Amino acid sequence: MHKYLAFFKTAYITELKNPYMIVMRLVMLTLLVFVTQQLWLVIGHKGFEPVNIVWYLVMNEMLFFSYDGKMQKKIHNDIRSGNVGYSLIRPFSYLSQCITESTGMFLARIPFLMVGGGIIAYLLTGGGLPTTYWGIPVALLLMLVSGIFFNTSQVVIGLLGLYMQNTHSVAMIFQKFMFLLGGLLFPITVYPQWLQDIAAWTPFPWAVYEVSRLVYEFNWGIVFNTAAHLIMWTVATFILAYVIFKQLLKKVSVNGG
Amino acid sequence: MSYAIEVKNLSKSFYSRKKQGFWAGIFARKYNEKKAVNKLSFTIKEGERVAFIGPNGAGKSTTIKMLTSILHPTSGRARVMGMNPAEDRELLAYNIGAVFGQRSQLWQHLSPMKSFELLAAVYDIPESTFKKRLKNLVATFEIGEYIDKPVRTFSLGERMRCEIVASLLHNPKVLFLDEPTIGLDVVAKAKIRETLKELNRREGTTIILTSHDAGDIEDVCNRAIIINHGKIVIDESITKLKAQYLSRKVIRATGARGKISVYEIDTKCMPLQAALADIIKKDDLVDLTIEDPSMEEIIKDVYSKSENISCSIKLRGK
Repeated sequence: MHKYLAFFKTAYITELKNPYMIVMRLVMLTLLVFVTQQLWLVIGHKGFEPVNIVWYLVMNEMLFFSYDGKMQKKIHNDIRSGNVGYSLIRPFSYLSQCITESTGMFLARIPFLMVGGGIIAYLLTGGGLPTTYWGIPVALLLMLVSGIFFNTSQVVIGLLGLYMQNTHSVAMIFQKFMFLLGGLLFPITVYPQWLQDIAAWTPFPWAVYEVSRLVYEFNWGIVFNTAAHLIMWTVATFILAYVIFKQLLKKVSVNGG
Repeated sequence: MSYAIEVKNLSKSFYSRKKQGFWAGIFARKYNEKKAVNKLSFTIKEGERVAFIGPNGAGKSTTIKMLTSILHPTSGRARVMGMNPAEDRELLAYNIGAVFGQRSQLWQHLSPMKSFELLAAVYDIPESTFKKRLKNLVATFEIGEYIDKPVRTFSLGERMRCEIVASLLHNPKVLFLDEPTIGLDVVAKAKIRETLKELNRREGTTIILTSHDAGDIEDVCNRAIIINHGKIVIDESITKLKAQYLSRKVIRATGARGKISVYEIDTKCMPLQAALADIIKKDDLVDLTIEDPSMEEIIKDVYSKSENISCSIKLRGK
């Protein structure tokens, strides 16, 4: 465990050494929320309180900017180049290293996004708080689990480099599902019921919408239901990553000579 | 006698799909088999310095990869420090180090110092041991000047020194080096060779080196295993290998007009005096040198499975 803690710590510290990126993420978050807020003004809020919409958007964008898309590219490149085979010389699991580093990067980013995002939401709403603002700490805790789910998903997408020349397209599709089925820009309750029913069978609404809506619609029933689904999907993603990685080890064939 | 490495009938085949029609490709797939390593058997004692050499595609890197757990053998048996690389990967990793000249194992975005600290955690090296060992290795390989800069800013020579230090931090019993001096200048090569010999002398580390550089082999190793087409061609001490070929001589004759002719003879067939008498007759000589064949020439001859040259003077390229 000590070695994976070292990987986590190194990734965490390396992430913190890049304050410019932290600031850029907050700037992008502000821009995206502001533009989407204006869009909501035009379409007329659809029964949602304007203050609630801003806080909902900020929560979603915190999650979106906190997960690490680079890990997917790194894993894909390591597989295609054969570098993953060379990790076998050392006494650690490449998969565990990737997941630990990815989690380290995520946990380094999220506090800044949470604090910065909170300030931005407060300012954009002119000092307004969402309806069930006391649900914010619980929502943030669940967001940590969502973040781990999304980071592990990136690891799985990278591992698909075992079967595919280019996993970038898969990463893009995944992101689009996060937008649409997760309700990144609109709570999914604006969708027709049939689409909401389909979305409920995927991890996206549980990782995005159900977590963020706790800021304006909090009850413990939603919390436990969301936590159960999130944990189930996160565990499933870990298992999938493990299965693909085992396949990878069987097939690894580094060019000789 | 304890062996660092024992290999018996080790084989590795790679399979690639044959080009077939659509339905045949689904229901009756066929594969091409390429035997990269074919029933290799050898042993290496602890403390030996062995050159593992062969032409491109001979199977040497494949063999090294099987011994370091990167690849699993198709058949046969391999033991490194008594452990099976295919089954005891993590345990074996604490006992071996590996440097691949064409691949970096350092973390590119980190400085070597950070990489070394990470490796200390990976190999469970106690802090006091790590600090002492690192101090010695930094001094030996002279990397103190750039140890805190990111690896991606290094020259090749600097990177290779750091790679070797990284592979030695945990004091491995066996060190595998796959073309460690590739692309380095003569000074850097000499330094690395000298340090490897010193390491072997001081700590008894078994060294297995693959290289296309004859200088690496001659300077560092005391034994050569030459493989070709996945099989062992020669397994000899370097001294014996050179002695077998010392009957061959290379004669360089410089003529009056500056023309240089290079001749090869086998003194087992033709006495040196007779060859010299013949050469002197042909050219208007101003200079003559007689040399033993270089290690490179010896290896080239072994690769090409050349017969003993005929008992006549053979003129080589000028």
